[in-house]
Amino acid sequence: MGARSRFITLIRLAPLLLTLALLAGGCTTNDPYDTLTDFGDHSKTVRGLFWPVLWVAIFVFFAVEGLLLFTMIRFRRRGGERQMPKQTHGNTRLEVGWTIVPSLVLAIIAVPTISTIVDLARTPQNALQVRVVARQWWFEFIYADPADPNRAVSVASEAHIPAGRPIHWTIESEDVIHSFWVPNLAGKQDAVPGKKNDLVFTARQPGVYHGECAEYCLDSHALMRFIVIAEPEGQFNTWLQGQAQSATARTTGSAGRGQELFLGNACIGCHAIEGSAAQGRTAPNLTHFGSRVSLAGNRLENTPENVVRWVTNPQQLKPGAKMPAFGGTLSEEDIKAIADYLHSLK
Amino acid sequence: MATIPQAAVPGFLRRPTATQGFVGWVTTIDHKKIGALYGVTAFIFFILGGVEALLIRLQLAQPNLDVLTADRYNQLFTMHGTTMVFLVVMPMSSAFMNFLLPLQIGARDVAFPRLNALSYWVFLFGGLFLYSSLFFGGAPNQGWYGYAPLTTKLYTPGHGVDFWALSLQMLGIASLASSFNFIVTALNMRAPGMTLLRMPVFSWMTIVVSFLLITAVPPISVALFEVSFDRFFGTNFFNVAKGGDPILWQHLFWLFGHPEVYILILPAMGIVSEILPAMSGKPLFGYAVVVFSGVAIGFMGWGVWAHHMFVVGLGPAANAAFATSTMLIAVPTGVKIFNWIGTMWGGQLRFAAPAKFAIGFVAMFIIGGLSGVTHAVAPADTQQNDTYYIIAHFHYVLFGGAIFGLFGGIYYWWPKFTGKMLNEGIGTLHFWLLLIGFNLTFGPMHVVGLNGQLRRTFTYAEGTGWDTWNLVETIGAFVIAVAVLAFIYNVIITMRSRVRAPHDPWDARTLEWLTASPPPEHNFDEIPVVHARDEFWHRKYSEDESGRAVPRPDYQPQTAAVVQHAHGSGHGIHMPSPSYFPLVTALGLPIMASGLMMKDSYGYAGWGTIAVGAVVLLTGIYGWCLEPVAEE
Ligand SMILES: [Cu+2]
Ligand SMILES: [Cu+2]
Repeated sequence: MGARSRFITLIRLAPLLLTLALLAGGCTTNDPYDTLTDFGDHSKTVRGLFWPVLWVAIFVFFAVEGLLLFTMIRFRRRGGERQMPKQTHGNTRLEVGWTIVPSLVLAIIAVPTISTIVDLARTPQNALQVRVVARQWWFEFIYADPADPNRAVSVASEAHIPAGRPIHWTIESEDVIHSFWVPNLAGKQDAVPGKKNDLVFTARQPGVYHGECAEYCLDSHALMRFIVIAEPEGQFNTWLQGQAQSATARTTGSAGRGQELFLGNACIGCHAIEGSAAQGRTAPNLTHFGSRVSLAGNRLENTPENVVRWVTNPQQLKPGAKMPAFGGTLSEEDIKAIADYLHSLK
Repeated sequence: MATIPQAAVPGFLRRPTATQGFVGWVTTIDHKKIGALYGVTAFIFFILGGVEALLIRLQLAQPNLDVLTADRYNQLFTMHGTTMVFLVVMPMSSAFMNFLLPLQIGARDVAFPRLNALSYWVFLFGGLFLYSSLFFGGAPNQGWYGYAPLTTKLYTPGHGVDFWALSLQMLGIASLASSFNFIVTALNMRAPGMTLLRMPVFSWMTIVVSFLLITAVPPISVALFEVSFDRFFGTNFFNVAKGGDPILWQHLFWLFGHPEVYILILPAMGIVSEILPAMSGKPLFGYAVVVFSGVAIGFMGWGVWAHHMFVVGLGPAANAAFATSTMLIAVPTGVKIFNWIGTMWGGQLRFAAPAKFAIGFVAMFIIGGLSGVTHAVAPADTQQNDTYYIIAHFHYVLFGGAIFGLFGGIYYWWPKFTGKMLNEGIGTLHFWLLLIGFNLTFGPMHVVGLNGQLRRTFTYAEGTGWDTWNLVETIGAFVIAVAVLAFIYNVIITMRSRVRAPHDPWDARTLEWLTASPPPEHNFDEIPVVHARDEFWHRKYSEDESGRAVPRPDYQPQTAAVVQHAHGSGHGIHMPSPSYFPLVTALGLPIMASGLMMKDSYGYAGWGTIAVGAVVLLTGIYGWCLEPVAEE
């Protein structure tokens, strides 16, 4: 074949090669939302299933695209052909062949697929129960109080879990459909209103893992993020015991003024601070707000300045946020005092 | 059939006679003109959907951009999806079916010409109705798939969802009407000797798609009625607090939605199955297998819908069953690819623009099909669902597949539609720009998707590792835009050119090339008698003892003179007259829909508008029934 057609071949191959390069490039990252990791047992299992299937697909891709390319080049009209092509209408043997071979390949893929589906649906005995309640646009995590299993301990947007121990997440929604997803650790599971879904996975090593809502839920869906902090079992137990305590807030200075403002304003209609008059249940529980690392669904670092920004105008940071903007009703000083109060809640 | 004498009918029931100009177009019941209307309208919507995509890509070019607000972004991706599915690929396929089906089977028109016009007008009004939402408080923002309970008034109180639900309902009516029409046409109006297994593959795919539509539209119609009743009359189908079930919507929607994938792709597959044989100078390899795998895909398409719901929590048994059925459906799809390669094998392939797009279709569709198999692995899908990996997959199927196939069809049949050839050089440029732009846009989505980037997110954080690829995707999207501009330029210069296309530019095989280009109103002066599959080819060639094609010495290639003659020789062939009533009937629907949306805020004015719409609708229907068969 001529240099020109060789060049054409190369151009034709380029997008295919590009795609492959992209695929190869996409498999070795420590990116916060990477799905092909082994940080969780669930993600590891899925990865173990995905890669062989992908390699089969890549093989078939090369084989079939190669065949296509070969056919195009070999049977192109060159000009000056003396005869018309032979009018072949088909070939039963070949056609049966290329029906059966793909069927067999797919049957081989189906076996581990089904066994993995069944495996992943099992719940081990020693799993820790955590309830996930999704709302527009934040996640609530509810644990049983170790001292009193009937009492619930609620935290927002930051789940702590013991590394190495299976967690049995029961996933619910209070409004529309959301999806609970920590890509580094496990596949996603939808949070459907009126339904309880289960997901079981283990973080294989301590770390901070990023999560996001994976089912479109209107305005701030893109910002409905959270983190899962996996820590050694002892550390986790200490954390949970701390979270189960009521708030012990300072009641002097600016924080004291903030406390008065908080309890005297609309805040308590939605937020709860255990051990105080604030018992709202529709917005994040702020009992230990000062111990959180992030704010507004892992959107901002939890600093007093960012709390002020948030309380002043939440919609600017999270479109559609349900919390009213207090920038108009409270003075800047008052909002600062509230931020100080919240930060004192360790 | 008795013809009512002209004087006996009241004036407004007289049938219009204009075949040209504005009145000619709005009253036409000629399948070719209706096909043209479908094509042009779908292309305009393609531009709109494309601009929406470009805005989306601008917003995502880098992390944390503020090109669009969250709400605008959400409206744009909803409109992009709804537009491309319902207002571009479906009607563009419909354009081909309208134009080609009667010609390919040797008929003078479709079975119900006025119903055919009604389909178009209902489709047009449905599309315009959807887009009018932009002027009445904003476009729908709940996603093209409208998952409950997002679509209940509690969460989307504006009129966006109303516009969306009522518009889809209208588009469903249009699809049903044209599907029944095509089925009856294909089953009853084939030329003598045109047995079912001599029908061109594109006509076969038209039948399969029509059957799919008449079975797939009802579930979504039911679901849309439920949504509409929840919104307009306070029912509780999807109100969870009152025991409504949001999962019901997903079942009904995907029961439509998966067959819909095949509704979108099978016409393009039919087109490719016409182009490749003509361009290779060989018959389609394994005609029967290609047809039956098309039918098989149609049937199996019914048993896979819950693969869209692997993370909904249906349980391991359902997930395993739907994973298996989804893998199974890959088989007849793969078979088609091998048959296309088999068609080219041993041929003398000409790389004219139609062939480039058809082969581009095959090459890109392979990628989309293979990534599809990786979603069928349900546990893997829990990591892929709702990520850009899925976006990559279905764009390789619906853009790399359907859109490439449709462009191939446009280049292939343009001389048939208009009597002129699109420019080959610009066509080549169009193809390469499209192929490169397409792969730049959607190739990297495989990577960022597996790397966790979610669809339907108006922004993303820094440090995710997605920035570079997103920028590449945005650049790719603009390359696609340039490709489409090249195509538009091609159309403009072709329309201005006076050069007439040869009668049979591709050495084609099927009946539509027997007649003049563009065909006369009555299609064929004489209805052809069919003796073989690929009838037209067999009139041109015989086979020698080794099976090679040999030109028939007695074949008279049609010349320009013959074409002229054909135009003038339609007298004595009775074609139905144009009619106003399909348009009038269709107009009633958007009026009624507007009234429905007004009734909550404007009370009687809303109910009044509904009544006006009903009167228009009934006037259309009665006029339709009472008008004379033809204007003599
Ligand atoms: Cu969401
Ligand atoms: Cu599907």
